[in-house]
Amino acid sequence: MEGINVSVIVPVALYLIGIYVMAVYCNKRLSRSDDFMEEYFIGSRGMGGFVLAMTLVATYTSASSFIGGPGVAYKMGLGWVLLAMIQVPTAWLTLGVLGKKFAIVARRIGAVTVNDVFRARYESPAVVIAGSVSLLAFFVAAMTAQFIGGARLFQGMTGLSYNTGLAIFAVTVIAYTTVGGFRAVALTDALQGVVMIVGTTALLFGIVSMGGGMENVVATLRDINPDLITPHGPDGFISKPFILSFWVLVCLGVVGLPHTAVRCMGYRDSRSMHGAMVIGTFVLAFVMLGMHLCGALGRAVVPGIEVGDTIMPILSLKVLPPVVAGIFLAGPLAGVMSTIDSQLILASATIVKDIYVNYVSPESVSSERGIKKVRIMSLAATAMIGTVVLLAAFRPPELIVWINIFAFGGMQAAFLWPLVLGLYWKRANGKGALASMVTGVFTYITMASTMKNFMGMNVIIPTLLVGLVAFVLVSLWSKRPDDSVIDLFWME
Amino acid sequence: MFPGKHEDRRFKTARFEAICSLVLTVLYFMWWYGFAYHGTDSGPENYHYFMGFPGWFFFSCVLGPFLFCFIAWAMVNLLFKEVSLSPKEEDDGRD
Repeated sequence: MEGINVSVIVPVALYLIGIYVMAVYCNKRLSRSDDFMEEYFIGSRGMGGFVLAMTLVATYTSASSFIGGPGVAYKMGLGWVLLAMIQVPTAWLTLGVLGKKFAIVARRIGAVTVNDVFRARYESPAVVIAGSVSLLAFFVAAMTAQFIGGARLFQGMTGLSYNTGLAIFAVTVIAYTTVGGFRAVALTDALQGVVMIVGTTALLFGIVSMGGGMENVVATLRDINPDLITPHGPDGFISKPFILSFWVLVCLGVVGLPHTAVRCMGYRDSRSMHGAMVIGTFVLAFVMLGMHLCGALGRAVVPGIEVGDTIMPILSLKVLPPVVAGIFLAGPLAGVMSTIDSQLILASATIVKDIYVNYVSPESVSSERGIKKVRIMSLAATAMIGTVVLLAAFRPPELIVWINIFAFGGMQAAFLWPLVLGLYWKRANGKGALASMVTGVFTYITMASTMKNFMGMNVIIPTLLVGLVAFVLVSLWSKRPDDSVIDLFWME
Repeated sequence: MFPGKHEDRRFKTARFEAICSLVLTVLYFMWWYGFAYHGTDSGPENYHYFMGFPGWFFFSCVLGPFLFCFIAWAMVNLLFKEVSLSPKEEDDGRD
């Protein structure tokens, strides 16, 4: 991969320009809007079914689905594709569980972040602050992983250096998110979702035809190592406790990711939600199966690649004609960007809305000057967090899939129970939520850093159990929530 | 406890739909697990093949997800109700 690959750069450049145009359009909408915060942080709750489905899928499929995951599939074979398919229910599950209740409650209280809902439900500043702090900390880790993934990809395919790739890529994401807000994020996500589908199809088609048909490809895999076509992987690496614990980490627990949860209050009407459940499931299943299958089957076509994160770029350059490879590159890049943008906008909302407006200067939203200040702060916060993450990504650690999984688990430890029990258990209260967040995050960090797994399972399992027990015990122990809260969350 | 207050009917709908979504997830798990591990412990030499894939993989990872997209569609159309999302429950229950 010597020198710069011009025929790959051209389609990518066109794609990036398209994204900038969208951001400018959204900024026009933003300046016309009556309620700045509703528009900037939640797009005035106007998403239709298709956009909601795409933004949910695009937000959720990240660098690890496009680079890390297929990279592991290359080494583990079809067993790792089996693991990836655990994610199929996430679209219907997230929307079905949070869905209508979350959307209605959010409209009642004018919430634009998950912490807004916590503030109304638990009436406890400590819960909101714990939520804000863990959100910012885990988001910064997750976004760093994404930036590294995106930059590696850029480097691998265009031939530009890692730092140049990182700069171009990161500046694009930060710029369109800062300028356009949530609407830009959702619209670019929709575009990115389409690009991901096209890219996946192209690569899969390329690999299978180069390998001489599916039968031949699978036969070649079997000749390399028969374990590659079993559900257990080479040397039985993918054991049952290991893979089953991923049902919690990448399927059930996904309901607790704040950046996907916030999408569940931003859609227009219940018809949009119904449509999104179906479209989202279909797109997610297709992209996950396609991408991981590419990684697994790629081993038959281009054997002997060593570094996990470089497998997808190398594979696509070998298999596809350069211009098509450029379009393909846009796919994973899209997956990466669309995860960062939604985390960025939510991190910014957390600083401005959850912390500044709630606790530092509540009067700022009532005056003309205050609103202007909030406006400037919002843009500045988005740009600033983006820059911090960019700087962190200039010194990349080795395998990004693990950082991402770590941040993933941390967010679930903090948010899953307060979200789900807050919506469906009347007795849940602020002390319980706080206990659950603190013990959950603490358990997760200590266990994840001291032991690789817990009796063969991912450490998210004991983490969520501890969090749940703490939540229930402390809630039952302390006094029930006020009637006004029950009114807000249950009564007409 | 709340004289004159009733539970918002839309929240009952939401709870029912949340349970449906969970049940569908459990069904998907059973499909996924059943096909992935049924007969695969005996080793690859005994596999059957469908469309070029090993049988377990075809049923668990290709056919299963496709089928459940369809079931999700059926679930939404048959069981889910359209409700208004406005802060107060309205009489007609439509947008």
